[in-house]
Amino acid sequence: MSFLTLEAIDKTFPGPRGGAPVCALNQLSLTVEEGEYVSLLGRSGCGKSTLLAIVAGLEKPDRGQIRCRGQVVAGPERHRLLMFQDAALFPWLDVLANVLYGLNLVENLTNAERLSRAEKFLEMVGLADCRRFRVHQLSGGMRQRVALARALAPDPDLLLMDEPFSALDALTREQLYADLQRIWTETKKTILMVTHNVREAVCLGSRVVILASPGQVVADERVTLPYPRTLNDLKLTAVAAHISCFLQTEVEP
Amino acid sequence: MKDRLAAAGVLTAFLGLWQMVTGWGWVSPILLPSPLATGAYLVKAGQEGLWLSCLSVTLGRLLTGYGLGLAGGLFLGFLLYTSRLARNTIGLAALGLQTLPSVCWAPLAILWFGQTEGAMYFVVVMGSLWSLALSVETSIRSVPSLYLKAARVMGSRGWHTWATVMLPAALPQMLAGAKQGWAFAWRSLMAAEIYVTIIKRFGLGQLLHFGRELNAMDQVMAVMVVIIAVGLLTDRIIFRPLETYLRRTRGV
Ligand SMILES: Nc1ncnc2c1ncn2[C@@H]1O[C@H](COP(=O)(O)OP(=O)(O)OP(=O)(O)O)[C@@H](O)[C@H]1O
Ligand SMILES: [Mg+2]
Repeated sequence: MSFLTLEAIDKTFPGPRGGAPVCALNQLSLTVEEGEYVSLLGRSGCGKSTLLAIVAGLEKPDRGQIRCRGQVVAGPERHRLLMFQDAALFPWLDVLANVLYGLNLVENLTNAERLSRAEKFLEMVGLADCRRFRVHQLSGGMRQRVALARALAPDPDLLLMDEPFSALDALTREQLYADLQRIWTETKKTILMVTHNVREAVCLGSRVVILASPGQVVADERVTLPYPRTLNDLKLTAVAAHISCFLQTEVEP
Repeated sequence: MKDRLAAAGVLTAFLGLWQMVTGWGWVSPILLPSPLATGAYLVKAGQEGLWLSCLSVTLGRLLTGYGLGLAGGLFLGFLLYTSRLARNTIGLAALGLQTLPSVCWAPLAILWFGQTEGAMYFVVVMGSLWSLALSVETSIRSVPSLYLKAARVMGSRGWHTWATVMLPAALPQMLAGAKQGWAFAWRSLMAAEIYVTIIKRFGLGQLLHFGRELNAMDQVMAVMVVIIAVGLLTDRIIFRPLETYLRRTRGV
């Protein structure tokens, strides 16, 4: 039995006033095995964020079913944690308290363990010195890194990430690729990550899934390169070039 | 500093003009007392301990009445947020009652409660409750849904979400509503104290009322000055620091 199965998911949003409704997902089916790292690629507006929201249980599909570990997904639950496209940090808390928020909802941890885990992840994203900063005092990229720490710290079984690195500089990004690969290989958690960067998708993903408008899977490829991978590896660049080419020629705008 | 000097200058000019108009007999002191006469009354009443006793009575009433209004407003606000039926009934009534000047409640209050503290509280509560309830409701309603979603995917539910997301996110708007409610309560209390007379417990409103009866306009004017001062001071001591704190920590 697969870890996560999506069967023929339909999702339509009401369109603008007087306009036709918008089809975000159209008979989308996808299975994900435990421990897979799936990179989702696709043009803007093709339904990637909607897909993650449905898997997280925040949106209900019009038709179709999502199962996680055999259980039908009926609502959000902390073992399927979504990291939003906008950082969605809480402005009434400081950086450390933001990272602690999800950890406080994990049972069987002492407060000391929570604190040390929060600090560990803040250190990983390079913000150990900013633990007392308020959200409005952070740059866009810093916010994204806090959101990443907040999502990783509670150690969910399924991590859903929506363009987690879009606002980062190249150096920080490559550092975090290495960290994320290490965490993923160590904990064997399942990850679904949306990205617009093809090389990033190939560098991190054990599988690359391409969506096309309206919300269908048009390609699904396994990436067999060994981990840890680096962005400038020649083989990786070749795979990425192949996928870019596919996106340009096969996926209609 | 320059701003303060300018403000002080304008204020002095205004007082000077007022003193000129009254002091030189252009306007009868029965109609408009001079600032010096008003000041003299302020000092004399202060020495007699009048302000202290009146203020303690009045502020006690205000705190009780406003406290009741705030508690009721929070409760009603949550009710309006959660129940559609409440919104269509109480919500509509609140919208209308909010526009009703609180003096209008005085006749009913006297009829139901007599010349008692209860009548005072009733007018204050009616004058502030509806605007407080509505502002609590809108503050909760305007919490961005992204925050709620973020909390829910991390496993927050029910009361936990209320305590850790809804309330802190709604706090700045609630504070603005509370401030407005405070102003309403203050005005309502002055109306109540002018209408409702409790001989043993003399408040600012009554002092103003009797000033009018005795044609002692310096007294009326002095009481007005004290009422304004109380309004300004509560803003500076209570609301302004809270607002500054929120602005500093959230950067809005
Ligand atoms: N809440 C909503 N109400 C109405 N329409 C929506 C809503 N959310 C998404 N849509 C529509 O659904 C489609 C898919 O949106 P979605 O956010 O999933 O795209 P995306 O693939 O994540 O795009 P991007 O890469 O730009 O983030 C879009 O056409 C969008 O207009
Ligand atoms: Mg998106």
